[in-house]
Amino acid sequence: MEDPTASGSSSTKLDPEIYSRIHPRAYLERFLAASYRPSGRTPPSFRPVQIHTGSISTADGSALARLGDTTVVCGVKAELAEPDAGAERRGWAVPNLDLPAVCGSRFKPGPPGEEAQVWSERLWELLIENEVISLEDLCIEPGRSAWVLYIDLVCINYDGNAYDASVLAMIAALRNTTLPKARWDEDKRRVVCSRKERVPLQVKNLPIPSTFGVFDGQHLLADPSAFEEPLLDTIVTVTVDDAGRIRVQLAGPACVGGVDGLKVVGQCVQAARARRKEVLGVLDGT
Amino acid sequence: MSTLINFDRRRVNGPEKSAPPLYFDDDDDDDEVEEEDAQPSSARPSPSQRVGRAPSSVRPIFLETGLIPSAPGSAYLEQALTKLVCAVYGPRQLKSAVSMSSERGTLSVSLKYAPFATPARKAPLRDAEDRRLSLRVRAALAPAVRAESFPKAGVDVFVHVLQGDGEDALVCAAVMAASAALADAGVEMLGLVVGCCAVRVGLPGTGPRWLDPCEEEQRRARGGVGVTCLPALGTVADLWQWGELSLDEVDEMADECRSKCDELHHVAVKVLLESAKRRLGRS
Repeated sequence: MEDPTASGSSSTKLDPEIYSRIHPRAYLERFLAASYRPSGRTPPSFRPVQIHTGSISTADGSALARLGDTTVVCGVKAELAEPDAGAERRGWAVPNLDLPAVCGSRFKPGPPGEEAQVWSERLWELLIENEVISLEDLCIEPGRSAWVLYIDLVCINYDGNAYDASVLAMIAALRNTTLPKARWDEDKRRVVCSRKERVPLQVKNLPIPSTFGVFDGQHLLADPSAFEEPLLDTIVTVTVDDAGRIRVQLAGPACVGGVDGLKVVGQCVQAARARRKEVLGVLDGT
Repeated sequence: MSTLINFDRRRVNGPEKSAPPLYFDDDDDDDEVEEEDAQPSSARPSPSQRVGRAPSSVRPIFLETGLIPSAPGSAYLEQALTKLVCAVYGPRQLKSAVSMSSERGTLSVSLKYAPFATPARKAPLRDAEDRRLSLRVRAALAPAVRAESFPKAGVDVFVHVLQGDGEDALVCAAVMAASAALADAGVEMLGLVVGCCAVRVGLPGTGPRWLDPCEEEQRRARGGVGVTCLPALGTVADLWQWGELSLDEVDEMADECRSKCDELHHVAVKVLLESAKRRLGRS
């Protein structure tokens, strides 16, 4: 393969690292002309997934998910609260993603930024609409007490596609979660929990997202990295669940440079189905 | 009154109010309902006996640098249950115009707990505790960092605690990880900073002293001392003390911590040497 970083016409040699910073677009174009990406991946290939569960003992369930270099830690902590009027039989699931200043130079300390807000919201939608867990299962005594699952996610290294990594960390942490056996004590008018007996949380559905980026209206890049993300026209996330149901989320124009948007989505759906099998293999291995 | 106190439109919100569960012991009758933390004093081991560790033992440390590739310098530290990551960014441009004219660079340290890092959940609101610990870590690092080597610029140290076990021990762990991360980032320093802490339990003048206390031990202690130092120069960077201790006790404890710091220094040096070798091998 010809070295795509070597500048053809110009006689001055430019360090590839500097070139990638000054002309990121041209840099990526040169790689893609040779059907490779700067990381050495081909356009349709995803990064390897690694999942470890249960390493944080202060949480009721925890997991660490790595997607290449993107690393997300998820901890689930259960507390008790009185159900809302009108939803007496439902508990709560409260997912929040934090992109702290540790994880990359463009993240600043302070309240969650736009990305973190959008992704937290999407994690919540995924939990509820794909029925990953049933909120009714969290009820201990209707109208009196129910579990609140605080699902906190922390990204400790950001290298693109934190949403996919977050979903994996969240699902793995929920599957690792056990709750103390609890019952409502009518005399004391409160919930008492067993110190010894714990019940695993029922995870009912495993929706797995796969994210793709469209570059320059013609290249479909699976699982974009932090370098590629800002250069993409459109980002497509396809989530496939146990029942084969599909959810497509698009950010950006559906039609770029004359490419038929629907055709692109069709490709993404196909790739997402194949990717789901691969990811489930890793999840089941933990 | 509590309405909307936990509400933040930038986050997914749960109920207005929630509480950690209350436990009862399965053997006993339900009458024995008690808080998770409050154990009956009879169930505790003798207060002057340390469970599972020698009085002067420091829990084994796992330290590795360069685990956050997007940061110029980073370190991950694990010490028994304590787990934290540290990233160093900079020297980079400062936002405020005031420090732009300074001959010396600015070192800022920010320590943050993950919400699941402690037995009781830490709601992600601005926490005074985090800022207090940040300042303590900064006080330890400041004497080591050659701030004159990056005038008008700033170096940011971020520590994120994934799990903590004992506040003083956490500060010491954060200092060690941060100085390794600073070295990994190539920030000029006079030496590596490491820290060690000790507590004293029991009655004044009699109780034993325990190094590197965990959460439970720190809660039971009468007082404690923490020392951070630069063993390479033989100087102390920062010292703090809390609780009720005599001057002699403080002296003894600080001395023991200092000699332990020499051992910890070797650990940090070994880790950095290995990572430097790896880097040379790569290029």
